[in-house]
Amino acid sequence: MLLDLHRLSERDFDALAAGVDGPELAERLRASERSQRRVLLRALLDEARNRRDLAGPLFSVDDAWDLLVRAERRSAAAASAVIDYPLVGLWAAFTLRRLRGLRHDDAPLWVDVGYLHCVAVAAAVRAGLSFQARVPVRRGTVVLPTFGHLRLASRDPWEVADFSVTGEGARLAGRFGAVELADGSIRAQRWPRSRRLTSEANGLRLSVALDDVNPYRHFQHPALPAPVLDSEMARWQRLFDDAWLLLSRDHPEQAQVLAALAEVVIPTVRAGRFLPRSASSGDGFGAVLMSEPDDATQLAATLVHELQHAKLGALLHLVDLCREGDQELFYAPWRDDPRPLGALLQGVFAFFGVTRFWRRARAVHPGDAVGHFEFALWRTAVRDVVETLVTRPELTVRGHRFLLGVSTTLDGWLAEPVPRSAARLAAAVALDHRVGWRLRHLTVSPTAAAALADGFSAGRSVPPDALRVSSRLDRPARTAVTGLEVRSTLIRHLLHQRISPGGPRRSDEPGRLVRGTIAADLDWLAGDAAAAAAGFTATLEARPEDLHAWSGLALAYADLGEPAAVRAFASRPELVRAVHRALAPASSAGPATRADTPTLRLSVARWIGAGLAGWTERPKHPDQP
Amino acid sequence: MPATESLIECSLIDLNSTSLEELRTSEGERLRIAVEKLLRQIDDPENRFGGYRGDVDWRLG
Repeated sequence: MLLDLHRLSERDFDALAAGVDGPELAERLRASERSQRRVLLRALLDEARNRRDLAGPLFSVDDAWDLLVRAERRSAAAASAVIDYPLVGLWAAFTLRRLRGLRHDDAPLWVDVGYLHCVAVAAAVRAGLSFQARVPVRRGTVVLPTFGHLRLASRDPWEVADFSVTGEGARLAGRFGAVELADGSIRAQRWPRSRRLTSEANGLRLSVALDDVNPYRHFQHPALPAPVLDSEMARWQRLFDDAWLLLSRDHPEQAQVLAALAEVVIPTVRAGRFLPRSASSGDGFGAVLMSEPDDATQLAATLVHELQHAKLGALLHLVDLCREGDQELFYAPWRDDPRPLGALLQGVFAFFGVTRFWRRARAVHPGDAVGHFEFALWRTAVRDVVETLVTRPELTVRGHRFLLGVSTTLDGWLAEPVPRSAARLAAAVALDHRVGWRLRHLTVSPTAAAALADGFSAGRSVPPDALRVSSRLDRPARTAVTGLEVRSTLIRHLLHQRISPGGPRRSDEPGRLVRGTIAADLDWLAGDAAAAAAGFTATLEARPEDLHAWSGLALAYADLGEPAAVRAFASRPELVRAVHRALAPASSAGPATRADTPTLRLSVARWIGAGLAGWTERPKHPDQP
Repeated sequence: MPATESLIECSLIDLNSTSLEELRTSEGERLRIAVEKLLRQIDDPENRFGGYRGDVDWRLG
């Protein structure tokens, strides 16, 4: 039998790129993801069948597949509900990676491979079959996808249990205990801890599972169940209701797509204020992992963000937008770590959706500065990264067309006016992040810096070629850096609390709002750039490698009207620091020169900035000068 | 969609009408190519099909 290939209309492709897709397209992506899931399961089955030693104390994977086939014959919808459950995809991909040596875990392989028995049991229960099966027990827990988990007395971390369903009910029996379930509690889905978040507003309904128990919900490594408390569940539902009210009322187009795509929310503990954490995976279409949100708006924006990833992931399963690169890493304005090309594309599309969200939010609530700020920040960030991506040879013809669609919509947004105060804060946050990122990840050869320092000391102008000295990305790239988010978090605090930027005073404890804030930040926010520059400089005199103060200096000089210095900080802050570092020991050698030290950074920045006058202010790649 | 609409032929095989029983034993070039492509995606260290925001411990494979 010759199987057909999926086809995507040019119109759908262009609609997705332009951000004007609707629920019908979302349904077509769901259909293609059903195929993707079946290819994944077939690949897993092939890989597992080639390794006969994998069954362990369980029956074979073919036995599990037999039960799936029986379930599908009885009810195709029941089998599909389980197979297409997002976390079944996460399990299958994780296990396939384990089988291919790309993942490691404490559990024996048969525990992960044998989860296929749990998938089959879930499908069989849904289909209403009577059957017997053997399932793996992970640390005393059996989790059936789409149902929930059962606890069994156990002594070893990895055991097996027999699951039987008859006309009278179900029984899960392990070596050290058993659980009986009345028939109704299985088929009516009254499984212990099975949870859903459901909300209906403005004629639209969103209903997702809240999966806090599935072992594969954290993508990278299996995890034990961590059921949210009833009080936490109530807060989730309240936030979910409010978020859906907001989405369905103010963002009906995005809400309709969300309703068609979102299937599972995977909750984790609350993160820092304004520092939400979330993730999605192309292996688990429709699942969104997120920290407990600060508020309904953050929950709504997170759903939009992650489901943009889902849409692009599904598109990439159909069409190649970029070829594999050579492991180069790039700057992304929304990340603290360097990112590979494919991830950069994902970020563009996610924040393209986020920009659309905030564009609508500010239109509905023009008096709220938050919307203006977020819109201004992300539209520029997306544009900057698109400009990087379109220069890359890895981008395919379709990839170029996709980004053209994004850019066409974005160009219109970039032309829209934004209140001056919001635009100033957004530009500052963007500059702060770019400067801080480069200072944390890029270094300049001390020899090259010393040569430039000699030229500076001799009073020579900068030789153009001298500034072509490379900035190297530290390898391996540091994935965990701190402090980059301090000022952006502080600004979000002020905007959300409707405190004017001049509101918090120096007499306040600066770190009270956001850890890491210093007094100079408050001077800068209040518009006193001279005091801010003096404060950041004083901090650097005490702690020359204080990166927060270095990037603060860039912001202060921007307000003080120092175009050459700002050009240097915006383009090559690591070079300014390296040359200053080369000069600083001499400057502090004696009393006569020590007095010059506070202004030395500005002098160096002006000197380098003058040499950079003909250069772009947004370098396209960190490894390029 | 209208029959005259321009379509992009994708590399993903359409298995929406294939039963699980057929899926287990199906052979053929298109399925083989789809599985090979999927394995390349599985092996991709960048995992460019999803995204994450926040703490790097959440980084996807």
